[in-house]
Amino acid sequence: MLNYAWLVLIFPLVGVIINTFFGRYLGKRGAGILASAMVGLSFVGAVWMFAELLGLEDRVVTRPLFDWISVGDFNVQVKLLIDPLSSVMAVVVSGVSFLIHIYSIGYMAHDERFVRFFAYLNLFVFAMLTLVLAENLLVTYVGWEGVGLCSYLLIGFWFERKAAADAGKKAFLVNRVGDVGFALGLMMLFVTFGTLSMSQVLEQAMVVRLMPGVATAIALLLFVGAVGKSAQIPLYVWLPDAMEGPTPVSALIHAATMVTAGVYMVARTHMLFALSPTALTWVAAIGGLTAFFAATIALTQHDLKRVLAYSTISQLGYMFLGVGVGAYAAGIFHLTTHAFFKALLFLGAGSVMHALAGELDIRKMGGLRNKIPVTFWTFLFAALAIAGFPGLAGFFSKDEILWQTFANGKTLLWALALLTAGLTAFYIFRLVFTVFYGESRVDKKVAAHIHESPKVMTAPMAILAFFSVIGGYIGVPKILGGSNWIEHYLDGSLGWHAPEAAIAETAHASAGTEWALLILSVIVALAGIGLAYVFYVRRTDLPTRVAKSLGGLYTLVYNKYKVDELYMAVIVKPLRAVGKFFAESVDGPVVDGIAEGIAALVALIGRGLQALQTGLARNYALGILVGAVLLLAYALVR
Amino acid sequence: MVPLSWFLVLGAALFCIGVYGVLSRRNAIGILMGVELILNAVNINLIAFWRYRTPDHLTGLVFAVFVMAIAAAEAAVGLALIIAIYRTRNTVIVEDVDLLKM
Amino acid sequence: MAIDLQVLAPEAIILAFVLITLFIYALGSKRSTTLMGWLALAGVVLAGAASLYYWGDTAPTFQGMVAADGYGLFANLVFLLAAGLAILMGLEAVRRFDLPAEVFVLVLIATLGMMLLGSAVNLVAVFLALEILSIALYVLTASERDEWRSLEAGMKYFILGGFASAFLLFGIAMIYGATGTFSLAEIGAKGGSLWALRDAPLLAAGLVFLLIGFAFKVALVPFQMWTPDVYEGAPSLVTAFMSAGAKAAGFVALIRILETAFPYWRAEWGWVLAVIAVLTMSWGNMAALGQRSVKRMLAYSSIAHAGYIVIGLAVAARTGYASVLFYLICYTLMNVGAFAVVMAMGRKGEPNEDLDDYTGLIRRKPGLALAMALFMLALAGIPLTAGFLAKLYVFSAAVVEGYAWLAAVAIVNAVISAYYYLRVAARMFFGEARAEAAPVHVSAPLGFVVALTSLATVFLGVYPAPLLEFIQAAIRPLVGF
Repeated sequence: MLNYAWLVLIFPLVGVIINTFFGRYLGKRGAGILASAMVGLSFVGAVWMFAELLGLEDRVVTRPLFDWISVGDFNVQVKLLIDPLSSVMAVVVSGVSFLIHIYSIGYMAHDERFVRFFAYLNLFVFAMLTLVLAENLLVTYVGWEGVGLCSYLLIGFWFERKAAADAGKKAFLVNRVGDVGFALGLMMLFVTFGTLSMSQVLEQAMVVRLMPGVATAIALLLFVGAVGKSAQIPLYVWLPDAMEGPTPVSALIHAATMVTAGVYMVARTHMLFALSPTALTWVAAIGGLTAFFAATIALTQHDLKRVLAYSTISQLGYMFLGVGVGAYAAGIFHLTTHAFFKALLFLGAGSVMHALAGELDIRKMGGLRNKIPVTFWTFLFAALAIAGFPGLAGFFSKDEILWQTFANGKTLLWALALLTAGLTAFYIFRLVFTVFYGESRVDKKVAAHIHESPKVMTAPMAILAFFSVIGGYIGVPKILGGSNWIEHYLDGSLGWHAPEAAIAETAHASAGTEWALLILSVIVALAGIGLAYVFYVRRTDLPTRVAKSLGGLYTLVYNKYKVDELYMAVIVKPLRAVGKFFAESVDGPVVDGIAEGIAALVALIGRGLQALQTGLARNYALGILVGAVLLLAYALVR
Repeated sequence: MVPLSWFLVLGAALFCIGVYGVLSRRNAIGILMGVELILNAVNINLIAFWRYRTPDHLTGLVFAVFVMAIAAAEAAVGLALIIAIYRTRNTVIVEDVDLLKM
Repeated sequence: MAIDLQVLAPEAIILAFVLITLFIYALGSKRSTTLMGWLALAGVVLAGAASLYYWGDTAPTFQGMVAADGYGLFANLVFLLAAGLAILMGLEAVRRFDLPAEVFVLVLIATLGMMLLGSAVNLVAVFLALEILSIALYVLTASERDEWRSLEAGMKYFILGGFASAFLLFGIAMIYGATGTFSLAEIGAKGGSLWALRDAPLLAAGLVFLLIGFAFKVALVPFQMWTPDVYEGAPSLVTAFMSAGAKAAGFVALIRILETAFPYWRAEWGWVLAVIAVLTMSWGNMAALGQRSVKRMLAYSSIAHAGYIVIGLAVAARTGYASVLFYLICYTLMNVGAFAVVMAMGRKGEPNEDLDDYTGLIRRKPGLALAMALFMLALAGIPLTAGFLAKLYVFSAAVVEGYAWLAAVAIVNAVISAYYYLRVAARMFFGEARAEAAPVHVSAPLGFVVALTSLATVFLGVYPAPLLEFIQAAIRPLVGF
């Protein structure tokens, strides 16, 4: 299968082509099934690859496909890199995509642009797998922009709604900032190493002695790209708005896969980050801060999907914290488990919306536990998993990050992350209790039609619930009697450390400390759940009272720290003002004069040339004669 | 014997007259005749070169015959076009056919 | 001296189908038009297959008139591609624009001329092939007989084309006078001892006149004046065919002539062509900026692209020629695709070529708008499209061969051109369509042309390697190993 790894990429592309050109002849059902089947085949291929890789001694395999650009010294070979990291990622991406495709058949059943939706989704899967499997960073970049394109298209899928169109635009603009950083990073990388091939960069990183600061600059520029794509401070503002897209899109692109591309990219280029402790510290700090910050906002929101969006930002922060302390495997481990439970949470939210005719305000829900039982139970498992309930997926992965942070000596970040864990448990169970417990606050009209979603939607949810429960057992830590299999496996890709960089010795801390921390985090998680129970089931008057007593602070958090307004005031408006200033005083007479002068000159020449085009054949013949005379004169005079 | 250069001067003169005809004539048929003159200038050159340079090979002579055939074909197509234009616009003056421009 | 007909099998097949379709035309009724179209297409496909089958044969035939070498056979494929796409467009055009059924015959005849031109190794054959091609194109241009624009275009093309052909012929006569032969190889051998242009004024003047004839055909400044008028007036399928096929034929023949007959003057004509390249692309791009008619804009853009292609000729090296052949294929695909969209927009009597007609097309015909946007991006040279790699290879050939300044000018030009290409894309996506906009209908053959060219444009932008290897093999007969 490794020799046929390209098939994994090709299947979704075939889906795109067929659905684009012949989709309307297939009918809705046919188009949906075809798209799902293509991703399903991709998934089978990815699993096969993964299994085959397991049986190998040397688990880094490259498969050249073809030369894309070959000009002088600049060669870009399109090559697949199949190693532990990319194989895990490919399985997660294709697997979750497959389930969400199936779910979408039910969810989008009544949409008139159904076929186009599936073409976009397939295209997304293709671009994402390209990003994951590419050996050359330029090809990664192509995939990176490709998933971005699909993301904007899908956020603005219902472009008739102004909010959706605006959200698409916002995502596009904010991501440009990150992508410019990424592109600059790639250029600098190419200038430094003379190649963008991952394996060659790795080889050289071992021997080349870089100027101090160069590695840091490259790593930080790449990280800027990751911050944009993975919605971290300060570029996270697009993700909550992206919830205007269809819910399966939120689940797939804005929770499980695309937004994790930043984490993946940092792990992929970890050799560069390992060369620069400064850059790593930045990654960890941004990650830890984002995790906490986004979790606090999630506490106060009333929009079901927005809570989940802030939760996603927060969890992505965890992953960056993990990779930032050098625990790349822990970050990827959390990425994997998060893909399961966060996708499930979104699908659950979609199912709730489906039942309530599109309602998103959790204040207008409640008591849905018995009416949509499958949704409730799967949502509950996902919530337990993200809250870090012992034994479930999120517990193992989150705890690994916490432990590695502590062991790395970043005590402050560890404390922040622990606090965030409590907040996470609280806000997610706030959702569980307000949506599924208590009195029904649903509108009368809507209440009459509450119904469980069809099987085509609930089946994927059930499967994801299963993995949310058991997904953590691939990484059970040693002290719990496990072998932390995923970490050892990923060591094949991520085991590289800078030659001289001090390796953070995790062994310093004793097993006793690890036990203590483990128990502590369990207590924090349970406390969060318990508190949520008290607040939203027992004493439902408490939330308002607490909110009142906090006063200004609550309002501030409720208004998402007014970051959007802040950006508007600090960046957009000054930029506009500066722009206006330049436009009126400097630009007008000087810069504009030059730029517009050139443009006007070009246009003027153009008009002049057009004026020569008189439409008279005789003038054209004269042109030929003039040319002939000039050429002849040149030939005979020389 | 008449030297080669005389023929070449005749050819060049005919060429110039033809070019002048193309550029100065307003009537499409006049322009067509100008082009024919140039082709005839070429033929004179070809025959002269053949006669003076490579009388053993017939290629130059044969080419001149080809040129005549091509000129006839071109004239046929040209006249057909001119008639078609005349039918729709009632003119054979090329200057009047100048709606496509800029 | 044996005449190996089988070496000219592709040409013979086309000729046979010319006769067959003509025969059906003479006998048939109105309904036989479609049959003629499909037959013509079959001929093109068969000729393509024959070209591939005889790949590798290098023997000159017909007494040293034509050489069916890899170079000529590869060029055949380019012409046949353009011809096949044009015939598919024609299947729709005969119905929609009421074109006569002869267009299929004429396209085949013109293709025959192109194929002979691509294989010609003797100036007599060059001239004959060029005239077969040109005369067929004059008639094709004027083939929409009840449309004044078509007739006017045909008239202008005919007058100026005849004028330019006469120049070319005059050049051939001078070259014959200077060397006593028409054979390209012999001219090359005789001229081997020459050093400067002024040592051989007759030959130099002959070369100049020859260049003029070809510069007219491929639309280089200052011999390009006819292009916008003719391209705008001709039926879209003819414009597509001319701008892709005839241009390719001109370049292919020019490369062979310059490389075989005048290699000793490489530096001389290289410099002249470099200057012409700069003038041509700048002229085309600047004049295209102000156009409101998409079709006329594409006409000017085709001048600009001819300018880019000449760069590959000017650098006069293996990499340069390879980049020209690659560019010609890419250009054929994206340009024919764009003209197919232009044709899809039009109806009898209302061409709908204005930018305003394209406004908001994404809501009316999303597939067509996406394809058109792709062609615009490709023509502008945006990465992941064939147009990007085509430009990249030409420009980098210039840099490698020491013409870096030329590449720099070309890049500035490409930036300018992005403005008018992307304007079309922006109009289609971000504008509101006029309420009274005519419905756009895309029939199956036309849709197939658009789909095929757009897919190929992306495919070549992503996976050009096999084609590039093919091209490397194709230019081997010309420049050695």
